[in-house]
Amino acid sequence: MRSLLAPSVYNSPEVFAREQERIFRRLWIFAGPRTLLTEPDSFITRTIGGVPIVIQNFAGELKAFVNRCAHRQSAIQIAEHGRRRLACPYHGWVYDGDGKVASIPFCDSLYGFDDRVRTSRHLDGVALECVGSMMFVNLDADPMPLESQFHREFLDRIAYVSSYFDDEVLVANFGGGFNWKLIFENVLDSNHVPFVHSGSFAKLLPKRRPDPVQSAARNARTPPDSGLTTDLRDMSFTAETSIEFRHWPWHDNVERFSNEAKYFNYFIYPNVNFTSIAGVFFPIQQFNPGAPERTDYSMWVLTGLQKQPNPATPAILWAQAKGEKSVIDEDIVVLEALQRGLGHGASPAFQGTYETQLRAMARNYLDRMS
Amino acid sequence: MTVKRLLTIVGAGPVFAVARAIATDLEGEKRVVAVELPPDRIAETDVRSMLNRPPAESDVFAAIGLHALNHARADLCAKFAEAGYPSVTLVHRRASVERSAILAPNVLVCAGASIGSDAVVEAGAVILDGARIEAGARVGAFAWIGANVVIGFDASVGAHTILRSGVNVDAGVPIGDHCELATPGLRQAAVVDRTFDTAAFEQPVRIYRGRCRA
Ligand code: FES
Ligand SMILES: [Fe+2]
Repeated sequence: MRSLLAPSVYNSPEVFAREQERIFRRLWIFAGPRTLLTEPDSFITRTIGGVPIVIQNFAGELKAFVNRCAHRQSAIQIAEHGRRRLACPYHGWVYDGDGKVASIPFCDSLYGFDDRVRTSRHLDGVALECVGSMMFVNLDADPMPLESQFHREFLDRIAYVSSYFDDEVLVANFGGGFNWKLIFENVLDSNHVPFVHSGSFAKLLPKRRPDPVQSAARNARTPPDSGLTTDLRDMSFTAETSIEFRHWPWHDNVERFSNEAKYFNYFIYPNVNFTSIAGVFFPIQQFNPGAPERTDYSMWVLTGLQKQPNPATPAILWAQAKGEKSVIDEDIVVLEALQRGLGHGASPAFQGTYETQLRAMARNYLDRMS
Repeated sequence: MTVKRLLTIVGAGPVFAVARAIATDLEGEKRVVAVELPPDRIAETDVRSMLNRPPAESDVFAAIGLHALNHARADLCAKFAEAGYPSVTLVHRRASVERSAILAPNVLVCAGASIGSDAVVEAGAVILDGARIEAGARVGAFAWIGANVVIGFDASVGAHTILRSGVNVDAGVPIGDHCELATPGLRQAAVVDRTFDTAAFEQPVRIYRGRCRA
């Protein structure tokens, strides 16, 4: 059966611009682990839907704003993570937790602003919700309720799982030369694992592994497209696979939401693959649309809560991140080649039963884009 | 008559071979005992029964490579210390160490390396062949300084940090702890703790802490 998505959906600048507006500036988008923002004045910066965002801790309360100064539009926080008050580095305007201008150096002598003018200036607020230790932002002026995007049980599950996050977090950013949808489709496609990752990730899986994603669809015929779910909430879901998992003494120092030797996937529509390896590690990958044919990956790697500080945690996280990246590099090679093939003359993908979830996603995507 | 103490080299891989060769050259074959121990077995090992002689009869040297950002070597050193075995420092005959330099226990200085005056090399650091630690520089505990790396005058390298061959540190520049730097070139700006700059990622990777540690 032909894919619902034409090849141009993966490389057209018009489609890209529309996605930024209809998907990334309208849906709830993952922004990062909350445990990074434990201390007062700590912050993170992100770019979501093409908009620079800052999330900052004000005396314990987290607030999100567009990271653009009300004076001359400078970024107010520049680092991707840090600890400093919300003060613009350009001319020193300082903002409070409501995004209002709290003070302006030389306000009278240089600007001639009275208090009324000064306090009328403010940052654009961004809706922020924490689901356990996962932060989500929404750039829409009238954000939909989280429950319209995710099933309640799914929210409860990721809230529970992420409540185990440690606060020591590895952050990596890197790119891939392909459309963001290709990688999200790829992580939903367990059938690529034995081929693309035969020497790496596939080795951790049992020989005759249960299909983690399409188990429900396994015995079914391809449902007609009229039978595909159109519920946005069905686009985010959980999957589990048994893995081989070696125990190390440091695992005893980690509080785990599960002691099972399993690989847990939480697919968060539109662009996050939140995983856990046996409750010990939490690798999180996000696929940010950088350009029609470029995905900007963000990757976080953390462990479950460490009972005692473990000085070797940087070594543990770094080793895990390198392992994750070497698997991702295998995907990148294939997806970049796939992207190159989507040029002139390409036709839509031809899909079978196990790709029903991809078809449902495509259906939903088209609804959202029209 | 006093029995000469033995020197037991414990470890695996290239560092084990090098440490053993240096020790044999310096002390003679009769005094040196080599015990192979791969890094992933350190946690479960009881060093007293492995060494099979009391601390009064042997010095030790932990000859483990850069496994787990050098924490494996640190773990073995900690086990030796806990069991009461004194750790030695091994300096190759063809390395040069200024008199005023300070070398802590379980430091390995390989052939052709040089340690300048008033430089400090903290416990468990490995200085590979031809590396140059200039005057006043400091190499943190369990750091790993690759072959021919130059650490400039008064510069510093944090604990557990790995500097691969081709990375040099300019005078006065501090490199944080738990870093791995592999992209060749002269480092002229400070590098913060837990920065990883290798070919595995196109941009440096960082580890942040949400909570301040004491
Ligand atoms: S642009 Fe921010 S203070 Fe001027
Ligand atoms: Fe993959």
